Amino acid sequence: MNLPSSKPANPGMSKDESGAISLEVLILEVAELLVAVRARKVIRLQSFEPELLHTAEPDRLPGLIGFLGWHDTTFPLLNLATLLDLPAQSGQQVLVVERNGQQVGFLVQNIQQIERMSLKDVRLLPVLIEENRLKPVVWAFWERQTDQILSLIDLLACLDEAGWQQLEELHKSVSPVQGYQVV
Amino acid sequence: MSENEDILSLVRDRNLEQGQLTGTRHEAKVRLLVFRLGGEWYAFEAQQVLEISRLIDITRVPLTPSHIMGVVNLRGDVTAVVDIRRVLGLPQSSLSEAARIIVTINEGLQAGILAESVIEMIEAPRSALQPPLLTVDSDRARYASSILQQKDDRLIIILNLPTLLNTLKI
Repeated sequence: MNLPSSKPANPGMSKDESGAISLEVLILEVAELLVAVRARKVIRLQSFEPELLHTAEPDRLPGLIGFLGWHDTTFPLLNLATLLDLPAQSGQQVLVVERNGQQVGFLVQNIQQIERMSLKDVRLLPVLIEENRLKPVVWAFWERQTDQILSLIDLLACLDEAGWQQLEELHKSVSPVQGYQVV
Repeated sequence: MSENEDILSLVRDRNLEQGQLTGTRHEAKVRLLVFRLGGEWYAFEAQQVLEISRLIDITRVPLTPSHIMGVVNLRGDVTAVVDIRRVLGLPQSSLSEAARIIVTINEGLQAGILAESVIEMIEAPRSALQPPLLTVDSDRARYASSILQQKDDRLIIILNLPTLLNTLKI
């Protein structure tokens, strides 16, 4: 599926004619599980091209696949299935988000669609989920029109601060000078 | 002595046999929902049960412990579904068509509890409930409020829902 490679025009909240607030979300498939993320921080969707992947460091940080070339730079690529503690997947698409001005890619099975999610369809986490979750990645649920429940996930919560720092250091170590070398 | 005492005596005897002693208060009874887990019989008090649902459309939730099976949508209420077999130290056998979610509520906390099958709703005198000590394995005793010995020697463990839910929250 070819998806737009530019930042969505209206990624934030909006109101419809009745005044109901809605958000733009991306529906992703990760290890056979559908989840949704807010489009706000997504800057690009692209196909996964393994030939652009270099310096794979799979054992250095859980979830790290390697560093992916993009024009004259690189960005870390993380396997979202691993980060969500789901079975291994063969991803085909990459969701690129921004964190502190840096690009980070998440490999997913596929990106299904972009939808508007009405705020009235957002459900808080049940206490048993909120108090048991291992990381604050799932932050709410979305009850779709079909009565289907999707987890709303915060991609940037997949790693804690120490994890992000480790990733940054790894990135620097593979690309010690500005303008990372792309193989 | 009343001239009708002979008749009254017979009636009293009959009522005693039926457990309906005239002139005394009816004994408090408790309604229990009996279900199977790991080859054993368990029950919740019926007042703690909101509904019983089929085991369909459970949405897995990433990054939760293995005893959290996921969430279900019950008419707009997102409810967590929990497999308590691990907590109770029971084997994790595969689930059949008979498996159900027992939706419970305690102090506003709603939770779906997995049952391998739901057997029946029974009514028992409260006096028939015995403390679980010495008769139930210690793992189970921790979460049992009482036990009920049936006439067919079946032992039903009545679970202490507040204790169970507090354990599951941690």
